Amino acid sequence: LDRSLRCPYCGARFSVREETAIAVCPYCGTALWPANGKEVNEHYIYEDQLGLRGAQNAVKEEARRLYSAPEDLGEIMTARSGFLHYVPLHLYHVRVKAGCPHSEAAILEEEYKTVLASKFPRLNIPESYTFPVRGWREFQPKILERGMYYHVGTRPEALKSRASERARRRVALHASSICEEPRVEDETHWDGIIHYPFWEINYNYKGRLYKGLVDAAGGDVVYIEYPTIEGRHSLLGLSTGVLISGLLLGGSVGVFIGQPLAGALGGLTATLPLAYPLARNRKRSTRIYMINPGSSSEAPTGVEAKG
Amino acid sequence: MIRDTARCRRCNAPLKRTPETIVAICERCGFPNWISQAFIHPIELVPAKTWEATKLLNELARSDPALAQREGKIAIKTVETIYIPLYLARIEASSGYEGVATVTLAKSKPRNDVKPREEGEREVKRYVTVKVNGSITRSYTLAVPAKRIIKAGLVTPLMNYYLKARPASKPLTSISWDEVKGMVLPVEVTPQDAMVWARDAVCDRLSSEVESLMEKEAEQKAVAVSPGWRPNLVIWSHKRISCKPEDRELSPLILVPLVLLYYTYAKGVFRAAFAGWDGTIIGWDRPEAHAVKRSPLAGATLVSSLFGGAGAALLAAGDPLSGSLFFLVGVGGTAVLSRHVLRGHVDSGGKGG
Repeated sequence: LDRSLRCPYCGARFSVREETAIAVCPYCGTALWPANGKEVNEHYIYEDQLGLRGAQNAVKEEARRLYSAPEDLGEIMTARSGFLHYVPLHLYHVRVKAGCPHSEAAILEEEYKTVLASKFPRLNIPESYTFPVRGWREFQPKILERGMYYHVGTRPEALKSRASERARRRVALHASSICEEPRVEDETHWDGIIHYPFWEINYNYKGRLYKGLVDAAGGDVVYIEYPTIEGRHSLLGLSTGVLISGLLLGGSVGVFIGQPLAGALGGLTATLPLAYPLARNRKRSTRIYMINPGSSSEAPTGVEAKG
Repeated sequence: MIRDTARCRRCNAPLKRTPETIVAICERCGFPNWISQAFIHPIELVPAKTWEATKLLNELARSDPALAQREGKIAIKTVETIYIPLYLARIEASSGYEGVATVTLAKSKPRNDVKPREEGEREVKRYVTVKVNGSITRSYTLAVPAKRIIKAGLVTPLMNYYLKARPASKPLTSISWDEVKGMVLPVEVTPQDAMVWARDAVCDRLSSEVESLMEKEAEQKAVAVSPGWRPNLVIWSHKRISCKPEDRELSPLILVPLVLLYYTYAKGVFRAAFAGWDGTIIGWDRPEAHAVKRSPLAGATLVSSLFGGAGAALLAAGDPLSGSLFFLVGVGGTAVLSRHVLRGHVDSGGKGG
């Protein structure tokens, strides 16, 4: 079921699905509670720091450095289009306390956490991508020339425990050194939504279109499709070689049976399932690079330990 | 990268900043522009030497004999120096543990005790319940990157090698920037956040160390009361592990140089990464000659040609049953084998970890 809403800022009419947690005007970004149509006051934004040109340059710069990319990729690639996506994040003030029944000692941890508030499989945002928690601004409605703001799909309550997960584990482990069964209280609360910008950039290289995704606030290219030089020439040659082998070997077997022409045709036909993927791969010799934030956010690497 | 809106307070050059940047180090003059006084922390730098591309290429060829064979076809594209900001955090963590476990012990039956019907049951089992407890203290030194998102593939081996080599660093203010110039990644992680990350990592590591220690201790205790038996399985009915991390020391913010050599081979771009202070290679891409596996390709070609050819010839010769069977085996076998022909991984080398 869809619910129809009218934006109080730009007057646009738009509809949202019944289960949408927070509705966002796709044109100017004003956030509304779907139940009563009232504006969400706790609404923040990270500004696009790049602009379309900056995002295109970031993709171009990255393309020059990609594994096995053609050496002329950076020079002759041409930008085709760019689209700015503002994806919603839930902002939480994490506050976790741990105490012991007969002790006054208590451990308290506080921090801010941001969690992606909807799923965007088409955008290819890496799953382990960590979003910033500082440097946002109060949201001011602005009609985008090319781009879109997205609704919040997941309710704030549903992601609260994910936001406080690490802090709860930390204080519980620490408090266990004081008493056997520490009491852990999670006082984490939702502080609002933040819209975070990504530029989707399409570029052309020798007649084919490729896609890149750039973090428009941080400047990192987080996803990029690109052509590679891997086996481009040899694969077409191999594909042809496979077909000729099928023709000759099939014909030779046919000679023994007394049907050389039928044998040759049979050998040729049977090699098609092998020759086709080779030829297709030559055309689509494409790789995907996705940023691997790896250990930076979860746990530092490079450890020396002394007993 | 980022729209240049801020300017260096010393030389007025444009600065590159992200929303979380706490200090932007000017790429022109090396001046640290702190965004807020609250974050100010000493900065040191491991000076990068100026590396000749040919020297780096020789080091690469020495490390990878397969690449050395292609050396004549390799052309240097560019060399870049990037400073990776990191903190060294020293944390002392103590862990107390206690638990009650049931250890399954096993022992082989003497051969003459095994009746023919029990051929599959040559082992006897015994269950022993043991209690373990104790505590350990460890001191860890961790390298914590000071940027929120790093490309772990390059930076992790650099940090590991840095911890091993521990090159000398100097205060940024005492260094002539013109001699060590390079790009500096934005510093986004505050000293306080670095310590929180380090504590998290230390407790993760210590907890997993304690878990294996408890398992070993439970097995040893069970075997001590049942000599001649060997432990098979440990099941815990009660287990408690604590971790109390204590901050001991946080280093200045250290800028560690990573040198990237980009080279071309067969009209494609590849790269190798080096430690900027001593030129040690820490990771590299290896160009693949082609992207197919030879044996499955040869096998699939033979199966399809011979069976397909024989099948069609038999069909034409008036033997539809054998002909169809041969032809189907040829096409089906090829379809199955062709899935294994194309390779799908990046071939790369690396060391330093």
